[in-house]
This record gives sequence, C-alpha cells and structure tokens, in this order.
Amino acid sequence: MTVGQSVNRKEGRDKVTGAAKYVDDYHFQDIWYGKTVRSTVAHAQITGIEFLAGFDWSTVVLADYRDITSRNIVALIYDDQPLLAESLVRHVYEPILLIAAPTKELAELAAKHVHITYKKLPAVLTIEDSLSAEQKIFGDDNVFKSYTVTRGNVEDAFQSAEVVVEETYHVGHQEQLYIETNGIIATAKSDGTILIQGSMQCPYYVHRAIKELFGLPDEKVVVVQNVTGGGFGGKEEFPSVVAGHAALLAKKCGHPVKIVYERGEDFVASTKRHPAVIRHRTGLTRDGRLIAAEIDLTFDGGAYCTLSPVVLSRGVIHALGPYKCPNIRVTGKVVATNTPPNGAFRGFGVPQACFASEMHMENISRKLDISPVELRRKNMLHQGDYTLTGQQLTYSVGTQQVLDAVLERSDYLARRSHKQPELSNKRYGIGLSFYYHGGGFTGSGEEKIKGQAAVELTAEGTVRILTASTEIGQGTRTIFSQIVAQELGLRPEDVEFEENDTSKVPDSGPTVASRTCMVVGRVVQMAAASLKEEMAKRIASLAQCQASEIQFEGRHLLWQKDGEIISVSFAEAAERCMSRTGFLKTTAQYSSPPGIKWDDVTYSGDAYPVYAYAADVVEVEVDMDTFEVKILKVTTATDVGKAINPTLAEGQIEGGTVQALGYGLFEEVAWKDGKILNNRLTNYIIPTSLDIPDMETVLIENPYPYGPYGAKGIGELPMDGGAPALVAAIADAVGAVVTEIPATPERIMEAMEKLAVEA
Amino acid sequence: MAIKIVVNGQDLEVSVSPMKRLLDVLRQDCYLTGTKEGCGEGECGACSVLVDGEVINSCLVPVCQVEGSEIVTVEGLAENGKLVPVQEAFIKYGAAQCGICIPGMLMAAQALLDSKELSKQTPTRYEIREAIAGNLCRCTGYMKIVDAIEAAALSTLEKK
Amino acid sequence: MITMPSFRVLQPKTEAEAIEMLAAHDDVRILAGSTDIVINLRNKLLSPKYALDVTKIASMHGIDYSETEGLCIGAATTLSEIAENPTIRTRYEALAKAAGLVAGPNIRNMATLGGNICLDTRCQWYNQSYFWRKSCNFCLKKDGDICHVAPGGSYCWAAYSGDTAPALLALGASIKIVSALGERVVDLKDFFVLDGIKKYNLAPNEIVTEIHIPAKSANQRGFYKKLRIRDSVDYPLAGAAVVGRLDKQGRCTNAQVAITAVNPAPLIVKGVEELMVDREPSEELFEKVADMARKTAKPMKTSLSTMPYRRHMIGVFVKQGLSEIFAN
Repeated sequence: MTVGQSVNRKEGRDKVTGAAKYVDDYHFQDIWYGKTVRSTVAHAQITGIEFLAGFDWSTVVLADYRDITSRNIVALIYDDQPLLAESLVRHVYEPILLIAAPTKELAELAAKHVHITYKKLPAVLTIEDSLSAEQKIFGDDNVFKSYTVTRGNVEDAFQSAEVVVEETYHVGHQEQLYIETNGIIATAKSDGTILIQGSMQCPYYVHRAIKELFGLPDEKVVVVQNVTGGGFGGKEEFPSVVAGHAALLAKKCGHPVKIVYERGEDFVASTKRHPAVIRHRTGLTRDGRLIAAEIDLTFDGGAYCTLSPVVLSRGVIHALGPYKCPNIRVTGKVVATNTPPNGAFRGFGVPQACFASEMHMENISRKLDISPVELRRKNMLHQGDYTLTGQQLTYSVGTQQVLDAVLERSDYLARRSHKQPELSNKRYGIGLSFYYHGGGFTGSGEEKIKGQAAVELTAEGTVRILTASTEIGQGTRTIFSQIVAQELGLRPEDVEFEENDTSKVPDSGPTVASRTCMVVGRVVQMAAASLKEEMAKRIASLAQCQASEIQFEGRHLLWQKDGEIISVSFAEAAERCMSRTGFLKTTAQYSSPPGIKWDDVTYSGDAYPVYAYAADVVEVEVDMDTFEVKILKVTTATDVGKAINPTLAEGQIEGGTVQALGYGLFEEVAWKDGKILNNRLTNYIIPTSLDIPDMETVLIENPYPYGPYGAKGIGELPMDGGAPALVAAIADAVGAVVTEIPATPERIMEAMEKLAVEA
Repeated sequence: MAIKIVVNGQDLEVSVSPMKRLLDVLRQDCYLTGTKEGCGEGECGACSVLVDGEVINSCLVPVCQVEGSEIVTVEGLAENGKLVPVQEAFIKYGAAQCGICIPGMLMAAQALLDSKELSKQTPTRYEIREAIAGNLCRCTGYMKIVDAIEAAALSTLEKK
Repeated sequence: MITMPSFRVLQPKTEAEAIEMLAAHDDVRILAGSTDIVINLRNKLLSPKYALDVTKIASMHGIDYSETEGLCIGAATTLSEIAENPTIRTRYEALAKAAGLVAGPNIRNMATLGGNICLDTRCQWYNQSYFWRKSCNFCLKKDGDICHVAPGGSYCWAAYSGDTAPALLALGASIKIVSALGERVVDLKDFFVLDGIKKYNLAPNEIVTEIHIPAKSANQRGFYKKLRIRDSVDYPLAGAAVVGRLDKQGRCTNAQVAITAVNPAPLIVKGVEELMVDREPSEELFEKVADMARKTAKPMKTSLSTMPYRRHMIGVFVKQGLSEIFAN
C-alpha cells in the first residue's frame, strides 16, 4: 500500500536544496521589467496623464488600455473589471498605466515622472454606505449578487420559540500573505503566440484571460506554472491581472517582461478575504433545540465583482453550520464599494459564516446556560439528516466522531470544569468550534467544469500524469503519484509529471475549492484504472490469458499460466504495450456521483457531493491587565474521509488552523480613505513560531465512496474553525463574548467594559 | 567596486555597487537563486543566510559590509549532493510545503544546530521556536518544522 | 518594485579615519547594522551622497566591564552580543532584556547598539514606499508639508521606537560622540529631542562611538517589556524599562523608570526617584509611579494600536516592573 503512507514530498529534495525554481529565479538575457502605475484615489474621473520632463521617455515603453487589441477585461464572471482603467477609477491602486524598462531602477524612475490628475467623485467605502445606495457604483442598488434560501415556515416557528437569541457579528479583510509575491514573465513570440510563466494556482484561468484580452485562439496562448510559493486562493484569479499586464508590455516592447511585485505592492494590488456583517436571529426551545433561524450575510465585494457571487454562495450555504434547523431563511448579498476587489481566499466565504454561526452557538449556550458541547450534540447533523439546502446526508458524516475525538484528546470537559484559583492576573479559558466544509465546486459547478486528467506510459517504462492541477505546497504531486502508484502496483517515485503547461496538459479545472484530491484525484485514479485495463488487455492478448487475470503488484504484472506464475516487470510490459502504437495514454473526466441533484434557481438540492467535518478546541490564557491572549494549546479532529498521505493531511490542517488563529487574533487590514495603512509585514501581522503552541491533530477516516480511496477535500476546512474556537476560549476566560475579529486586546477590553455596564 | 566574499566555501570576487544587497549579489551575481526575497524589509527571513556562522537577513545587508566574510546559503548545506541532517529531516517530517520560506528556515535551523550549547544536549521545542522566530511560514503552522529540527538535532547529537 | 538609490560607501578602519572622512564629505549617513537604514533608503526616505560604514572599525566593537569604571560598549556591537553577554545579563539586566527583545534573532545578529539608539522615529504615514507616500501627498517628516496624525499641526509625532534606549536611560547611560572638533560625552537623557524629525542632538559630521553605563548602576534588578502584537519581530508599540534596588531594611535606594514608543523620544519618567527612595515599596507607590508614566506617555495615532491602549500598557508595564523588582 502506498496510499495511506506518509511518503516523502515529491519535490521535497528540490525545496530543501534551493534547486526549486520559482518565477523570480528565471532570468533571460534580454528581459525587461514591468512596473504598474496605479490610482491614488478611490473614485474619480481621470482628467489627465502627464509625462514630466527630466526623464528620457525614449528609454522605456509605455502601455495603457488603448494597447489592448480585443477586450479590456479581466475575464472571470461579470467581466466588469478592466485590465487597465480607461476614464474612471473605482478604487485606490487600480492599474492605469504600465511601464517596461531594461532595468528595475529605470522603470521606477519613469513611474516617478508620471503625474495623473483626477476629478474626484464621492467614494463608497463601507458596507453601510453601499447599502444606502446614495452613491450608485454598481447597478441600481450596489448589489453584485444576492441569494435567499428558505426551508420550512420561519415566521410560525419563531412564534412558537421559547427563547430567541439575536446578535450581529463582524469580520474584516484578511490577506492571503503567501510568502512568494505574485510574479509573471510574459514573452510575445513572432508568430503571435503569447507565453506566460509564473506563480499561479490556475493556469487555465490565465489562459482564458489572455485569450480574451487579445482575441487569440487557444493554441496561441501558452501558460506554464512555475513552482509556486503559496496561494491560499490569492493566486486563483489574481494572476490573470499580472499576466495581462506583462503580456501587454511584452507585445509592445518586444522583450520578455518580468513583473514580480514587491511585498507592499502585492499587498495593495491583490485580492483579500471579504469583510462581512452577519446577523443571526435564532428561535429555540428552552432546552436548546433549534427550531427557527434567520441569518443575513452582507459581504463587501470591493470595486469589481471578481468571484464574489461564488464566495457569497458558499457563505450562504454554510451559514448555519453543521446543524439541523427545520425552519430557516438565509439571505445574503455582496455589495460594491470603492475599495480594492476582494476575492478567493482559503475557506471562500465560510470562515466569515463560521465565525458568526459558532460564536452565535457560544452566545446561545451562555443565554440558555447549556454547555457548548450539549448544545452541539442536540443540534448536530447525523447521517440521514437534511441540510439547509434540503440535501440529505447519506454517507461519510463524521460529525459525532470529530466532536468525540476532539473532546477526548483535549480533555475538554475536565479542563473546562477545572476552576483555577485566581491567584495571578492570568485567566485560563477553553473554547470549542464544530464545523464543516463542502468539497468541490458548489451546486452544478463540477458538472460544468468536467475536469480532465490523463495518465500515459513513458519511454522509460514508467508512468506520467498529465493534469492542470497545480502543486502550490499542498501536496498535489505527492498524493497524485501515490494514487496512480497504488492503482498500478508501482512506487510513487515511478510516477512522474508532465510540466504544468496548458499546451501539454488537459484542463482539470482550477486548483481551488478543496477539489484537487477529492475531485481531480478521483479523475486521476480513473485515468490510471483505464490505463491498467488497457495494459491488461494488451498484455493478455500477447500472453493469451484473460485480462482480468492479470495482477499489477510490486512493479510487475503477474498472471498464472498452466499453474505457473508468470511475471513481467512493469517497464517491460509498458514497452510491449507501446510496441505497435508507440504510446499509451488514457484520459478520464469527472462525473458527479449518482443521485446528485441541484437546482440553481431555488438554490436547493445537493450543494456538494460530500462534506468534511472538524472540531477544534483552543486553550488560552488572557492577561487581565493587558488583555493580551496567549494560546496555550490547540487540538483539532478532522474527518478527512481517507488520508492519502497523513503527514501532508496534518500539514494542511495545522497550517490552515494557524491562518485561522491569525484571523481571529491579529490579522486586520487598516484603511484610510480607501487606502491601506498596513501593507507591509511590519504592520500586517501574521503569526510567528512563538505565537503558536504545539498542536494535536487527529485524523478521522470516514470514507467517501466517490473520492479516491475514500478521500474528501480538506484544503479549506481548517481555515474555518480556528477563529471561533479561539474567541470562545477568550470568552470562557474573561466572561465576555467578542463579536468582531480580530479579537485584539482593545476589543477584549471593550467587550468587558460593555459587560460591566450591562451588569 | 570589486568585493571579495567566500560563498559556500568558494572564493569569489564580484564587481558590484558596494550598497548592493547581499541578497541581490547572491541571486544575480553568484547565480544562487535558492535564497529568496519575501518582504525586502527583514520581517520574513526568507532571505536568511549564514555570515561567519550567524544567521542574518541578506535583504538588509549591503555587500560591502560582508567583504571577506564566509557566507553559506541553502545551496551550500549539502556536500556533494549528500543532504545534511536538517535537510533530510525537513523532507521526512513534511516541513516544506510551498517551500519558499524553507531556504531561510533551514539556515536558521542550521545556525541553531551549529551553536555551541548544542554539543551537549538537544534544544527544547521552545528554543527551536525561538531560533526560527525571525522566519515566517504561512503554510505549515510551524509544527512540522519544529518536529524536523528536533529530529535533526537528535541525530546530529547522536553522531557527535 | 523598490530599488536602492546609488551613492558612495566610505569604509574607514579606525575612528580617526572615520572622523576625517566625515569632515571631508557632505551628506553622509552612518551605516552600522543596516537593518533600519537599508529599508529607509529603499523607501526613498533617505538619499545621502555617502554612506559611512562603521562596522570595520575595531575600536567600536566590544564590551568592557570593570567594577570601578562600569560598562563600556562599542557602538557597533551587535544586540545579540549584548543580550547574550553574561556580565550584562547579571549586572545590567534591563539592558540585556531590552536588547534581547529587539525584533527577531536574525535582526539582532546584525543590528548594533549605536544603531538602535539612533533609530529613526516611526509612523504609519512615514515608513512606507515612495509611491505609497505619494498617494497620500507625503507628510511633513519627508517630502510633504502636512501631518496625517495631527492634521493642521506642524509638529512631527513619529514615535521613537528603540528598545534599548529606555533601559539605558534608566541605567543613567552616557554616550561618546566624536567629530573633527573632538569628542564629547553626553548624558543619554540630553541626547534625545522631543521632535519626530530632529530626533536627537547629533551634528551631520558626528558619530556615536561608545556607550557607557556607570559602575554605580550595576547590580540592580532590571526590567524591560514591550507591547507588540506578536511575540517576535515587531517594533515596540509601547515599552517600559524599570531598574531599582532595595537596602537590607527593605527600603528603596534607587528607582528609575523610562518609557519608549509613546513619544517622539524615549523619556525618563520624572520624579520617580524622589518619590520612591528611602521608602518601603508598596502597591500604592507603584500605582502612583504607573500614573506618572501614563501621564508622560503621549502616544499618537502613529500605528494601528489605539492610543488609550498604548498608554494603558505603559502603566501596566511600569507596575509589573516595579512589582518584579521590589518583590521580597
């Protein structure tokens, strides 16, 4: 068995020796450097662009929107975002003009000599301003998209509720903060082909965006993913912008053009997690059973739509959490503001929804004086239950298991009841969160994408995988090679990968939505199974046996003939299989599990083929003089379906959990007039090794029948539950519930003052 | 200006502006692109290298200040292709995910393993966390990195 | 993209050479650990014609201690060396603690004590790239004529952000400054100026070569704590150093408190010694001193942390420091 083993990361050696080449590590002789001139105002008409004297403008090449030969858009959902602003700017940092120069110094100097004048327009900078629609910046109401999902009879149910709990929760922006900033190199070839290479999650998104910009056919755009230094959603749609800029400059200046953002620019230019205001109103029986719920989510989309409708949709579907409630109405909208567009970030709408729903459970438990555990047990989803969208959960429902495991491993009950003597100014607190995350695209998404992957035999007699799923650190290459090796009786090291190049690999769909292992991994498994079948067929005809008799084991093909076991090495079998055709390649395409139904109009049905479940326990110590929070211990339990590679699965969970703790504790973007005040690592704070304690990570395997070997998607799940567990622990320590994250010392101080006033 | 430095045991003379950052000299003039730039202001540690045995951020060092110094980068850890214990451990324990912070992280870890105190006992997990506190990682949550350094420390000590 | 401006580097091997070079050239910046200045150069906050690298001057390195002369530290000694030095750790605890809390380990291996004392003041409107600052029409500390922190004002509130200065102030340190005109020794408390732009009294051709802490300050209990959002890397958002000593009868014979990061200069909290000496330490006294410290602190909106919280934290640290030092 190789599946289920913690085999070493496929590209591990390259990554520990410095051999792995990221985009900025490539250098070409005649390369030029691209620089972006951006808006300094939030909402304005551009009245003029001056090129100041004192600079020799003949030494650089300039490009603006007029150089775009087809459509000035960043192709995505609404196509409302221009690659370069024309007459109107809708947010600070919006790209207006591009400069290419033979050195970075010259490009920077040129940019210093550009002066843009504006006629300012009123700017909409907050959700509240946008909702009032006094200033219209998108349609009639500033709403990009809204959804309503209803089940049961909400009004009547509230009438019969014995207790009603109501609260509003706020979350701010979060920056993905991959340590490698965005970077692209574009080359325009003489035959009109545009080559793009760089840091990205989704080569085919970039491929489409470049085709749209220049009106090119498929084959005239080639996109290659380089080793990518982290994405977390931040390199899902945004690299299309950088690639568009670099391509435009490369076409105009005739040199390959490299654009690698420095940190401050990456921070302001790229997308972030959507801020949100989420209101919960819940009707319960006195003993804590949910009978009615109204949840309203408002997300700040920023100046352009990007992926906001899809982010919101996921937030809406996950708004209640993994609980039953027969009568519920969830409304959601994402609104436009004159701030930089928000977009994909690990969790994709769920961390916002989950913070609100889990903190609301904390508030309910306090109001009803029911323990947080009992409240969850009373309302949690079990196999056979229905979700918010009316989806019946029929398999792989690990709710009970994750809750039991996290409670046991953390010793939650004993620790919570253990009242410490308050000798010092430090208070101990323990908090719980319980959550789920749907794997793959929402609703009919996977059916539309029809992700493909292929497997082929190599001339050396090994196997090669062809997929557009990118390795961004999460382990794509390692787990895919394990899956294929398992199917074919090989070792993971016998499996290689075709370069992630759109001219060579099929479109597997984007590397997002926790779908790489669960969805594309399944397609890879199917492709490998077809290859195996085809090989068996060909060998059987040569060996004059039945194809079904041939076993693939230990890098050999084995079968019995006249009571004797015949064995041929895989390499030799591969050679024989290719002797006539010269190659053997099998391609597979995703199809949904049987019985999956989704209605895009009523937003009902099977929102996801399956959910992964998790529970976190966070323990903290709060200094009652300073209100500083020290995290003492974190325990997580996750139902992963099947861990293809336990070490990699744990790595995903631990890393995601720490991002979630950062979100809950100190990650916050500060704004002034639509400008970001803390666009640097000195002032946008992510956790260091000293901020995070050791973690216990429990993997629970509750196989999903339609995933590869039972695996479910867990890439995003660990981003959802860390913040509410942390804030619940703070509440346990200080007695006050903070309803806005990050839970800074100032906010904790405020919550305690509010509590004192109420008391 | 011609500046002499010793990089990964090799005597080099580079002809660059004295204020050129050591990071840029390594990447552009020595063709050693293993050392990465993550923030350019000494916050993330992706550019960490050893200068005369001490771990420093090469994005903050003008090359004139390290004239004559011995510099070790990630490319200089392995000898003739044989990985050192901390590299082996990073692979085995899954400490590298996206890998961009790893060259710097490894240098901070190696500096800890090279430190004198370690000739007697392995560092505690807290000491390991302190040693890499100037190196940010956004992927791993640091657990696997600490595990790997702990294991490397143990195997280094056993060899002594 | 951010690039390094071009200028010439001067690399003297002795103090005498350095003084000569400083006298012979205009517009020179001192380069020591480079950790602060390289960022400021790249952000185009500075654009000198020359940079004078003091790290090759042997006499500016090293730590000397004698029971009669006290402690002498070369200005180019790194903060790691200071934080790890056994003599400083036992005899001048506050300084070792402060040096050990500067930024992260990699920075401490480069940053020097002289550089940490002469750190530029910081403000969220100032420590930014050229293009970022341009988008805000710059500010009066650099390239502009407005203050975003105190609109309408003409005074720069950028916060002094060194960690070691408050410890040194509390320990009564002095610094040696040399130039072609000779040398002068200045009490550290007289070196700083409450002005985010001017920062301190140092002429363009002068250089800080040595830090001295008197023998009488040795062997006191010392404390330094700083507010920062995470446990490593960050600059202080508020910080306080406390030193003190008790006699055998349990009476206070010395007490000094200094604060940082809440004003354009690090400040000694005035009147602490007078209040505490010859008295038995008590909660009540501590509260009084904490209140004096809070009143000395005038944090402005120069960072993301709020002003009331930063002031609150000054009080908390001072109380903690006093309680720790004067605990029985």
